[in-house]
Amino acid sequence: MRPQRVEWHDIEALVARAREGSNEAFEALVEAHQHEVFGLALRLVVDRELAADVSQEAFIRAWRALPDFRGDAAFSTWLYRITVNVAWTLKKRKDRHAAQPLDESPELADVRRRSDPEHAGENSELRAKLAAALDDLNPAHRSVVVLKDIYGWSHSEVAESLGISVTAAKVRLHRAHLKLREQLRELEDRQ
Amino acid sequence: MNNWWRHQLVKWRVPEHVMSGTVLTARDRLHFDACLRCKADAANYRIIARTLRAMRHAEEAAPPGLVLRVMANLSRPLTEGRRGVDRVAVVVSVVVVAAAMALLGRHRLRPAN
Repeated sequence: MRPQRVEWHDIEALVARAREGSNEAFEALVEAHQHEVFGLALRLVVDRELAADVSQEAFIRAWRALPDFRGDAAFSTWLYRITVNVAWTLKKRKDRHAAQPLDESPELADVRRRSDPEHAGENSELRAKLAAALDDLNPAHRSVVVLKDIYGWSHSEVAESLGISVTAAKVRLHRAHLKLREQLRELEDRQ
Repeated sequence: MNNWWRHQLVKWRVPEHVMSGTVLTARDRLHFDACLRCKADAANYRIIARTLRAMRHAEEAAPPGLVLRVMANLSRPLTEGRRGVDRVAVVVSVVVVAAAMALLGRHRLRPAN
């Protein structure tokens, strides 16, 4: 069961209390953001188990960094940036240790397909196709599409959080779009 | 620039025109408005953009117990960290006091001229 949506002014109050060291306030923040953080992590790493680890690590890092949070950006934006950084770190670490590339693991591919029917709707078929095409992109391309096209970040925000230049982010995004279109076309042709 | 080149150029620019809102030049626009293939391509990208945006709200449910896991692991590294800092502080203090006492002892033992 999903918790009730917390209003932004409640979030601000919770952040203020958590900054003073309140575990209860931070727990409420974790409660309120867990699904979005997990969703972002899952889109970036395409592995439910790893996404859970990423979410946990992101929240722990956020707790540690809370005293430095100045409130220039929304708490959620700040938290998502931490999540992106953690996702990159843990994914790289996992890929270094894995004999088989993560993206080609049939078991994981199966897991992500199974999660798709949850999102039934008018365009569920297209969404499922697009989700599959997105998951098949390489991590560098997938992350720019996830952050820019799904989460609506600006080019500079994407570049900053991935540690690349704005031009590189734009180039990567352009290539990712072409690849995505191509993969969708292939999927359509196969059917 | 001939028509074929213009088409290649516009075809290259269509994804970012649709997905990121970049503006087409007047000449590109002229070609775009007259080219059915470019228009069809743009329509496809528009669908992709819309579907991707909608995916933001298709929330994945976090695994049960994530909050508990986070809260259980929250204090451990911090406490260990603080304990580590405390231990270092004690060692540094002991070394400083010992050095000060040694210096003081040597000073006292030195015969006065």
